[in-house]
Amino acid sequence: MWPNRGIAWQVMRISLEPRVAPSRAMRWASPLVAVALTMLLGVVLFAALGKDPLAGLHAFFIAPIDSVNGVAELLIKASPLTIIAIGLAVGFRGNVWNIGAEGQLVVGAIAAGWVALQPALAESALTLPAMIVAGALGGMAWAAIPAWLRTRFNANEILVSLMLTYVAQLLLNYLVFGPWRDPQGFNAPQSPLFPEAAMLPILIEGTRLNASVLLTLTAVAVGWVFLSRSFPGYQTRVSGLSGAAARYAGFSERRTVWVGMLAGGAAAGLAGVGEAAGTLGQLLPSLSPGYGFIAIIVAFVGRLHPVGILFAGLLMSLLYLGGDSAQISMGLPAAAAALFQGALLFFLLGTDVLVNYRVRVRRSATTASAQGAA
Amino acid sequence: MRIIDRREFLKSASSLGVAALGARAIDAFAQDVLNIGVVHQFPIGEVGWETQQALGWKAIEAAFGGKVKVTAVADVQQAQDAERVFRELASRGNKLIFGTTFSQMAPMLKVARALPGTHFDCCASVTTTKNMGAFEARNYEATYLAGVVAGRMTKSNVLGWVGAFPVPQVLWRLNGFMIGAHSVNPKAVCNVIWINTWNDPAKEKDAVAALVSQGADVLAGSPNTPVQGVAAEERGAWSIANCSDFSKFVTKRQLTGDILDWRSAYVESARDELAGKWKAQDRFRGLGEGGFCTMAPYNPAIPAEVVADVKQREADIIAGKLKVFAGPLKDRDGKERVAAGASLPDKEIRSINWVVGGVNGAFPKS
Repeated sequence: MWPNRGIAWQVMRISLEPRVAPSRAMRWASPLVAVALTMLLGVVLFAALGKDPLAGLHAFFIAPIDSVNGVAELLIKASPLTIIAIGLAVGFRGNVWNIGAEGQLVVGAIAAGWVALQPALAESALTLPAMIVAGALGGMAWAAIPAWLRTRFNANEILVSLMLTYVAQLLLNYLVFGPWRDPQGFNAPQSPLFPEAAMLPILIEGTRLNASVLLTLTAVAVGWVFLSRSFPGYQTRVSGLSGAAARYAGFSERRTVWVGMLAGGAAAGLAGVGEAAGTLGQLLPSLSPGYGFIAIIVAFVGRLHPVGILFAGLLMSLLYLGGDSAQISMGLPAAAAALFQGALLFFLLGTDVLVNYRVRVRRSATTASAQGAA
Repeated sequence: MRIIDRREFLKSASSLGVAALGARAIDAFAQDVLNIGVVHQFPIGEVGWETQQALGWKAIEAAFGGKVKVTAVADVQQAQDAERVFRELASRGNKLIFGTTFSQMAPMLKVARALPGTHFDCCASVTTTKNMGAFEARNYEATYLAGVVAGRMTKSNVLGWVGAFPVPQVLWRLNGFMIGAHSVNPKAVCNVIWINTWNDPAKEKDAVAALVSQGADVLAGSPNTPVQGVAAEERGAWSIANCSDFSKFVTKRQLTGDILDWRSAYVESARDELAGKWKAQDRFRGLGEGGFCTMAPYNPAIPAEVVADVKQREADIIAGKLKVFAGPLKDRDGKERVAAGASLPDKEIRSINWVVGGVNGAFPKS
């Protein structure tokens, strides 16, 4: 093993081996472990920045939601993330990778905005329901393009749906810089304000909490029934776990693609309605801070389960609120908030890996001469 | 001061105890201190739009020291989020709150209506209410002077403009630039490429390359970073800075630039608030003392008589003798926009959606 000439190299090989049976207890505990590790990192981070760590954690996790208004803001921010993530989860469970929810959100908002800006509907009680339907259909229409290209030409839905996001954004730009520009808006790129009848009603007076959260809660329920209790949901899951088994059972792959894409599109379109008719009240060039992309993270943090996604959406929302709140009350830099969010995701994914795999460290010694001889 | 940079990070990390003492000392006077909030859309960098805004509120701290406490929140990108942060700042006792960009106008209007006891000032806002003021730069005065320089320095008679978005703030600067260039060089034209972003180095470089290959030898536009100037310099073209002076980065071929200076806007609002006399105003100012824009240093390559001419025009603008949007003025389709002897009213400048002759490039139709 140790030859008398040549240099001895001791090589450490680290490899991941799948566990035979991941611990059930650890599956549930791993998100908590991840949160605990993030908190620990937060303590170190705040101390290094010269801040009281406990006050920092308080500013991040408690202060944003210590009032009715704070909880309302938490729900408002979590709502679009959660509803999109649930829609995406339907596809992801079936190995259908819709990455373009952001574009579907934009088209949903455009469709709803078109309804809202019809003068004939300015005072109609039907305006809002029509906007909701239009928003869902708009998102579905945008998702139908990659679905059709995938089922007809086997085009990669990841690329097509992602690229259509940019097309949707340019379409929105064209409308708000051009035909839909507010004539009273100093030629600024924005549509006229929606009439009162086109706004989602406020649920708690004095806050911004609007009825979009009810759409999201409905989506959680529908998503759960579909994925856990319905036959098409079962087909989707089988397709995701094993395409060959699904084919053998006679499940249609096309249908899985269509269901997955359209569910994601409808959910993203509804999120677009929630933004346009909820917090904004008009169409702007920038409708969403990337909810369609952040929702992908939310879907996976929630383990593609509707209830898990609900919690993941609330957690992600809290991190955003906490970042702003910590800037105001603690003077923490904006980058610290982003670092904090990144750390949480890192630990979540890291603990997940360790639940499913174990780390093997093997030591093997080789020598230069031995390598030369071999 | 609530924004932390690296230097302060090191300072505070090394002197925990002192920081704690300091915090207690501030708390003791908290009653008498005017709390001021500022919301930035993006992180505050070394140069650019956010930096110029930050110089504004830093001037408040320099002017009033212990009598004010400024809390600046950075990277609040969406209008939806700005509304929440405005509310939170107000609920934490900030009596005067600044918005730093047009997209914060709509959310600020909503919050200002709900909180009549708090005062607001929003940069680039086109609306004012009883408790919400606005401030905006007449920086077409500065781009006019830059246009005079460009018109004199161009050899090809082709200027280039990298357009962010065709919003009035960009169009009035573009028109000022072209009017200035035409005033000394009637043969000059300006090619425009819209990149649909305020900040995207790859697209900006591509646009500069395209414009230079079309013959442009002076590049202007809405650069928020030195990227465009550096790209122009690499291709041997001149450039005009915007927002901040980029001469530290564009060391050879920056001709001049129109620089934003919001210090007086911030300091005056704070001064009035401290004196209990704050009133909502709509401040629209250009060059000169207390104005909102200035010129970056002139490149030594510019002939002395050109610099002297430009300085004379600057003095005339400040004295009110020279109006940039003076009639007769036609748009590029030949429609008369300003009659002879008149000049364009402020309201029309602030909603401008046309360009003067000599500007080439597609524009969205409304």
